[in-house]
Order: sequence, then structure tokens, then C-alpha cells
Amino acid sequence: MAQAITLARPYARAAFEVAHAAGTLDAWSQALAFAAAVAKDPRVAGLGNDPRVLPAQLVALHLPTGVAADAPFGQFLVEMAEQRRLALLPEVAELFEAFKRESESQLLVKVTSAMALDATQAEQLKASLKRRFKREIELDTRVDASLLAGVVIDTGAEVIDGSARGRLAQLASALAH
Amino acid sequence: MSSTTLNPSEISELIKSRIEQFKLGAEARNEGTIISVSDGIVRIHGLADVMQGEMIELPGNSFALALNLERDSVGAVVLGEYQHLREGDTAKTTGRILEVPVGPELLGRVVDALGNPIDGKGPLNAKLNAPIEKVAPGVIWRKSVDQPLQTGYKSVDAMIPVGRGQRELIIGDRQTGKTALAIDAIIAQKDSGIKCIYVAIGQKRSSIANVVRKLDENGALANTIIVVASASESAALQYVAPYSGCAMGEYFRDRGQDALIVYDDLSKQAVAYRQISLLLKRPPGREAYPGDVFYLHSRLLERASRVSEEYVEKFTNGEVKGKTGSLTALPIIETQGGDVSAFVPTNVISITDGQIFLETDLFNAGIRPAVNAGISVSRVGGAAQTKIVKKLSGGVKLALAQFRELAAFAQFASDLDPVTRAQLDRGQRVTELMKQKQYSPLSIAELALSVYAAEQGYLDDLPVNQVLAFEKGLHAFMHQNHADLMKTIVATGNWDKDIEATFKASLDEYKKTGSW
Repeated sequence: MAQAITLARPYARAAFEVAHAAGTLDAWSQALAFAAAVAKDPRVAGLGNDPRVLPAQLVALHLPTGVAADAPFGQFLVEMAEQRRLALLPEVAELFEAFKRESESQLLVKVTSAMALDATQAEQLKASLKRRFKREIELDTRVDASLLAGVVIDTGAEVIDGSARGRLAQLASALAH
Repeated sequence: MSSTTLNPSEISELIKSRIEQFKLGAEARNEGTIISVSDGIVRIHGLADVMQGEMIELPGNSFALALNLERDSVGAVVLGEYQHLREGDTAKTTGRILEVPVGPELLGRVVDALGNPIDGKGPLNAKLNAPIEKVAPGVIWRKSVDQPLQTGYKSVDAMIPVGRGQRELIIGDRQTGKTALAIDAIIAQKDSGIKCIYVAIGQKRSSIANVVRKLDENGALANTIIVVASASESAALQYVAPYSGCAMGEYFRDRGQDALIVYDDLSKQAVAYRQISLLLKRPPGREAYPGDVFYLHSRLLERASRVSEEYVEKFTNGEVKGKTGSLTALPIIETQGGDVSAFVPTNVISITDGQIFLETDLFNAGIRPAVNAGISVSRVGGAAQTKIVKKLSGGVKLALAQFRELAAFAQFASDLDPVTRAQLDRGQRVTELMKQKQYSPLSIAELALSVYAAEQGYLDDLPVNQVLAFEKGLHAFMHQNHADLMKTIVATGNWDKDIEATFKASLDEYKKTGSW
């Protein structure tokens, strides 16, 4: 079973390389975000496989205002529409952002804490994460009371579980074995 | 989940010691999400740093083995129950390869494929763990096979000798006595100091219970480890069980001891592996087995070996000096309708150092063990045979070979010339002599005596149906009158003029008594 992300990767990489070469990463990022939001809309989702809808019409639907249909982004959408892959736009946008952060040596870190972090705590966390991962850190904080105490730091691939809930789970598994 | 009864692991002292040993840390771990669970296979998204063969921690104290590493997902096989897993659960890497407990503490115990005791005799207290997948010792560290391993079977020890460190395949259809032969080989080791491991793969729990009971009754359980992955357990455990057993056997080999491992049977392991591979969507090949089914068995059997003194010394950091170690393997393969040219049988035949063929026809004709001496071979055992057995067993092989050629003429007995008749008579008696009851292994002294009697023609004038009674009486007679000699032969395995003279005199004397 091929996953959506596997199918989306070649498009995202191509888009990223074009944007990177042209130095228009931010513009592409915004345009992709718009198109992804359109593709996510339940009213649009059904149209992708509808034979009555022409690829050109789909492109027009996903194209943000102010971007010409013959601009590189327009061509990109035409390419995707011809392959009937416009439904992958959310994944493409996500991967594009990941490539973009990678090139700017940034790292998006999701921090879930039991109680909201105040500004100094967030700064401290940012500084120590920067030391550890040697990247610019972009924090995405959430609050989850079920952690009881502490934080869970999720960098995508690596997860540092410093929460009371995680420790209790570790203890439970140690006791069971 | 919670029940109102306490289980054996819930003792305050035990819980206390576990809490004390518990190391708490917020370690960074690779995490992923389960995207599908089907038939014991989980697909996990994420886990970018996972290694092939690594253990993956799943919720609810279960573990999976990473087998397929793909671009955006990892295919892993759950070890044990998988009903509690849900899509969206988190999976974590552990950074460890699957390990099982090893050591002398396991002797006398029955464990599952992951090394957990299942015999209700309490915790194992094993001090060491070993990874189940290890690379076999290299060429430099090996020593050739030159010590015998007595299976206690006349037909095997005389004609198809097995040496320590050899891989001898036991192959035959269902119900031909394959397991019986292997179990007897284990029972024969009760006083030899050879540690045994019996790996039961895909068998009925009732037959496993039977094996355990028989080993116990015959006093061989105390130096045996039984590894069980029964038919009701998941395919993953059946696939893993032989490697677990092998890791337990390697413990003894690497410390300068001798061990014997029986894989009962590898065809079921191959079937379990085929199931896993197909569910992981690996392309099927011949008989729907995956492409690496040969490697599945070759890497396992390659670990059965004899290692040199230097290897043992190096491995134990000089603690054990001047001792060689060995792990002898008796893999079992079940054929369908005697077809040895099927995929898995041909593979394993080519990997092993010989095979013992068991045949339905012989079994039904009452020749038990149903060993077909014509096509059974041992490629390295000859070098390991005890001097006395080697010297004496030649005649038996020859008599049987001649008998097979002439067997077709047996019904015209009266019209044959005397030489042919004599060969037929000898052949019939030797065939009869090779029969042996289950759970009654013979020592080499007894074996030598029986074979000597046959070779010197002491059986030729006996009715065929009295051969076994004669043999039994002969052994009793010798144990009564020449107990010392029998003990010396067992200890040294020597053959000289004096022994021959005693054998001859005793046989003459015994034959005169006519008491059988």
C-alpha cells in the first residue's frame, strides 16, 4: 500500500527545488498553503476524480488570486491536475514546509506540557533544544493536562518524554516484566 | 484488565526489587505511529532510525520485530498477542536486538520462544542475555569434528555416526518416528554431560507435554532446555524459536562445553516464515516461500559448530583453557509423501552434513527406528566414530548393503546357491538386530558387542524372531560377568586383542547356555 506521503514526495521535492533555485520559497509556501486549504475542503475533495471536471478547471479552483496560470506555480498545479494528484496537496504543502525548514536549518518542535509554559520557560527550552539539535528552533506549544507534570518534546522523528505520565508508564512496564 | 487474583510476579519483595532496579530517565527515543494492524503485522509510520531486526516497543507491554524497512513505513511482526493494538498507537524504538536469557539456570526448564518460563517453576534467574541472531564462528575458530556423539541407537551409531558439532538432518514423512529418534538421542545424553536443547516448533501442546514427561521419566530433563513455540502461538514466535534455542546452545559451546540441539521441525518454521513474508508483501517464490528461505536455515545451522580451544579461551577471556566447544544440531524436516525433492527438504539436505532417512514402509514393516540405511549418510561422522565401533560396524553396513541387493530374491530362498543364501540370512538377522525399542539407548560397549556377534556369525543359526531376545540376554550376561570390561570400553572406546578374546569367549559361553 503506497502511502499518500510517498506519492506526494516527488511533487514536493520538485516544487521545492524550483522555488529554491528561483529564490521564491516564501511565495511558493503561501501559494501551496492556499491550494492545500482548498484541496482539504470537503466540497472540493469529491471533484478530483469527477470525469466531468476538466483539469484546467481544477487548476483554476486551486490557484490563489494574484498568481498567473502560466506562472511556475500554475504549471505545477497543471502537472498535478493531469496526474489527478491534486488531492495530495496537503501532504505536498507539509513536505514542502519540511524541506524549507531543513534548508533554513530550522526545526519545528512540538512541545506538549501539563501546564502552559511561560515566556522564560519557553526561551530556556528553546536555548537548550538549539544546543542539542544545532538548529534554529520553532516552538509549537500545546497543553495537555493528562501528562500530569513535565513536558513531551516531539521533533518528528525523535521524542523526548519527560512527563510524569511517561515515567509512570515506564515504571508500569518495568513492574510487569 | 485487572483481575481479583494475584499472579506469581506480584510478590512484595519482587516488586520492591524491581522498583529499586528501575532506572528512570527521560531518554530521547525514535517514535512512530501505527498505521495498520493485520494478522500480527503492524505497519508503522515514522521510526526513521529503526534498524533491521530491532525490537519495537508497542503499547501494552508488547514488542514487535522490525523486518521491512521502507521509505515511509516500517513493517514489523508482533511477538505474541496483537489484539490490543490500534491504529494510531505510538511505537518506539528500543535500540536493542531481540535477546533471550541464556545460561545453566535454564537447564530443566520449559521456556517460550522469548525465554519466558512456562512450566510454572518460578522465575529463571538467568544472569545473562544473548541476542538471538549471531554470526556463526569463522573458519579460523573452528575445529574439525572428531569426537562422537552417541545417540544410543544401534542403527545410527553403527552406520550413520554423528560427531560433536555436526549437523545431521532427520527427515521423513509424518509418523515415522523422527521425534522419537531425536528424543532418544537426548535421553542418551543424560550421563554424557552433553547439554541438550529441544526446540518444538508448531507442534501440538499435548505432544510437547508428552515429550517433557518422557524426558523427565527417563531422567534427562535435568540437562535439557525445552523451547516451545506451539501451533497456537503466533507465526512470529514460531519463526524466532529456533534462533532462541540456538542462542541458548551457543552459551555452552562458547564456554568449552558440548551441547546438542534438536529443531523439531524446521519445515513448520519455514511455513511460519512464509506466512510472515507473504503478509509483509514480500514477493513469493517457489512453493510461495520467500527468496531468503535458504538463508533462513543456513544461517541457523551454520551456528552449530565445533570451536577450537583458542576460540573458547578468547571468548571466556582465559577462564576456560584447553577445551573445545561444540553445538551439534539435529534438525528435523517433515516430507510429504516421501518427496525429498520439495523446496525446503532439498535446501536443508544441502546445508547439513548428512541425513537420516526414515521411511513409512520400513516403519510399517516393523523396522523401528525406520532408518533407511541405504540412503542415509553422515558426511563427517566417520572421523568421529569411536575406535571400537568403527572397527566392528563395517560388517553390518556391508551385510545390509548386500542384503538390499538380494532382497528381491528372498522368496526363492530354496533355489539359491549357498553363498547367496548365507548373505540373505545374515541380512535378515542384521536387519532384525537393528530394531530397537524407544527410550532404551545402548552404550557403545553394548553396541560393539551386538555388532561383533552379528559379524562373527553368532546370530546366523538363530531364528530371526529370537535375535532381539538373544541380544538382550547377551547384554545382561556381559553386565553380570564382565561389568568392568564393559565400563572400560564405554570410557576408552578402545579395541584390542584382549577385548576381542573376552568377547569371543563370552559369546561362546553365553550361546552354550541357550538362555534367551
